[in-house]
Amino acid sequence: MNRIVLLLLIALLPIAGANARRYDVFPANPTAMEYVRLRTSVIAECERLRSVEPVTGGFRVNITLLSLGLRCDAVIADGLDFTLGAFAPGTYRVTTRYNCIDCSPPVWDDPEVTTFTVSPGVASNVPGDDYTQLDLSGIWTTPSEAFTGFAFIHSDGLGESGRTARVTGLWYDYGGNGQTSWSLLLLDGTPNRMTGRVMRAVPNGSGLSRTITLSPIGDATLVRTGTDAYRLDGVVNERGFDFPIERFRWTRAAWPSRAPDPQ
Amino acid sequence: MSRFASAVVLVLGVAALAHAQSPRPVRPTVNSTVETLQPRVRLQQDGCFAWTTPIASRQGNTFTIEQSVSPRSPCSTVADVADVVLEQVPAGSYRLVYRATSVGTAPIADYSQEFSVAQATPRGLRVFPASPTALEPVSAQFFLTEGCELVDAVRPVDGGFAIVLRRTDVDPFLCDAIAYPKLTLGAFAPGSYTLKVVYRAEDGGAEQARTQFAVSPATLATVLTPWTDLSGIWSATDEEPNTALALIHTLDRDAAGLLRDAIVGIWYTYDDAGAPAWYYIEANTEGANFGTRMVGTVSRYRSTNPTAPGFQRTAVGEAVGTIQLKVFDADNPDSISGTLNGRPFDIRIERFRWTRSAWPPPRNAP
Repeated sequence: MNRIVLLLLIALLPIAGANARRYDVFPANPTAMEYVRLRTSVIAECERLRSVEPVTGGFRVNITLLSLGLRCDAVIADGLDFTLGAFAPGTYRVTTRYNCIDCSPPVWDDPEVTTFTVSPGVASNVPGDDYTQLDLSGIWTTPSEAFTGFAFIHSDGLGESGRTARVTGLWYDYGGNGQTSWSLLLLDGTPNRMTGRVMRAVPNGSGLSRTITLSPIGDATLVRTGTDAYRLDGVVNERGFDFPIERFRWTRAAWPSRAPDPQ
Repeated sequence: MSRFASAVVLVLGVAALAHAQSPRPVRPTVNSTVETLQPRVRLQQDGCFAWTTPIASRQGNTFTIEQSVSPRSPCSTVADVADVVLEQVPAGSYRLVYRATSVGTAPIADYSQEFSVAQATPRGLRVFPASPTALEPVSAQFFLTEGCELVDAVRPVDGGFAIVLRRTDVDPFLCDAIAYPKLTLGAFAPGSYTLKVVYRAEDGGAEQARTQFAVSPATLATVLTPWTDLSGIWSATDEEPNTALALIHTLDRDAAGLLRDAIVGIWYTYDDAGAPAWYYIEANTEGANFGTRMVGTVSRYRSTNPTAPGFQRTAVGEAVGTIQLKVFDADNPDSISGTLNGRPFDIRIERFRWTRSAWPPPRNAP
């Protein structure tokens, strides 16, 4: 094999490798609004994941090929593990588009397709009981209470009269002595109003052998008071509370702005 | 609400009532609005104090509402509510600052909040929050003919997403009300997205409304590729049952002021006395090495004024341990290790999964 042919083969390696790109999906069976991760391998110095964009039926991952040549040997591939997002139920296709300044053609689509299916919540037999609603899961805080917050798990449940909204909340707060303490909110109801008990977990044992007993310490009601507003009121340890809560927002580190390409 | 009940609101300790010489804090609530309407702000004022007429001003994207408050006796027997109408503004994100000047009462802390003004679109289609960041849950709201239209699905389409409606208007008498449902669309990577409301193909496929939203990335300019977002609820069912971690994967700055990825979190566990206790976790990539994603400290906070009203609470944190966060590949469990109250720990953790209530499977029309 002469030198020119060898160089040509080396130059084509990343393209050949890229054309077989598939993604591992985690979790393999995501549920609605659960965060979906994708993993694939990239050639560290030669490929950059640039963006993800919705296309009909799914998402297209845009990868830029920065260079061709010896250093782009597919053997030194690095893992790329990123969070794609959280989605409504359905089946989604993930494809890849390559951009390469020095290639011809400069843009091409990988024929490989990865699919994943996002499953919905539980089914109800009650007619009209399949309305969508807001997912309240996440971190919430209240401007009325400093240094406290809530971690809400808005899960699905079926009651006697059909589907019920269910929020399990971890409320981190303080005890009467000022020490940190947390309690559990167990709320059920409609998307606009959920009521239930506030429980304190009393542990028995530690580590692997730990069990807990939940003892009620109060009641709480979560009410939607406006388009995007909620209030939490109730009584804990015979003390009343009533305050607005708001979703805590933060900038995720997962998707940074584009940095300059290495030269 | 009785005077007693109103005074108790926002208060963790009943003992605080004895010291309550300051008004119950006014927490403004902004009506959700669109650019064709003037935003309205409702002030719920403590009826045992006298409030001057609130005055609103605007500078750029910040509205400020100011008023004075002084003692009053006896208390008002009716709800003391003031509505403030702000000027009409274009669609976008705004901040509301509320400031009360105390005259003869204890000082009142300023309060501020963000609110959004949405574009006017057919069916009142709006996206919340108006300026989402990457992987932040995005919700949408729009008008439906109640009883005659249901949300069938959200589907990705070129450049964005389509909310697909199905018609169930077999009986026109059922179609005489308007609903304004709100649903969570999902959480997305940075980019600009078009959001459409369309009928499903079986119902003609006509587009009903359209808007756009942009998801912004993190402002980190030294990283070339995205990575996994570790935010969420984590548990250690096998090793530390009945405990949990709520992690927020975000950014902080190093000594040179450069951004780096970091974790803050709340660890729900128990103290040595067996009482439920939470610990504050703060970790970042400084000092991390191969196999360790982040290194940080575990602190326990303590309220220094546990009987004060909640909004006046002060707290101090004391480091009670160290933590290392290890993240293996997606096939293997992650772990935390370190020391807590002088005792070492090394716990495998896994992301807590649950079925959300937000998206049930569609059924046939009722």
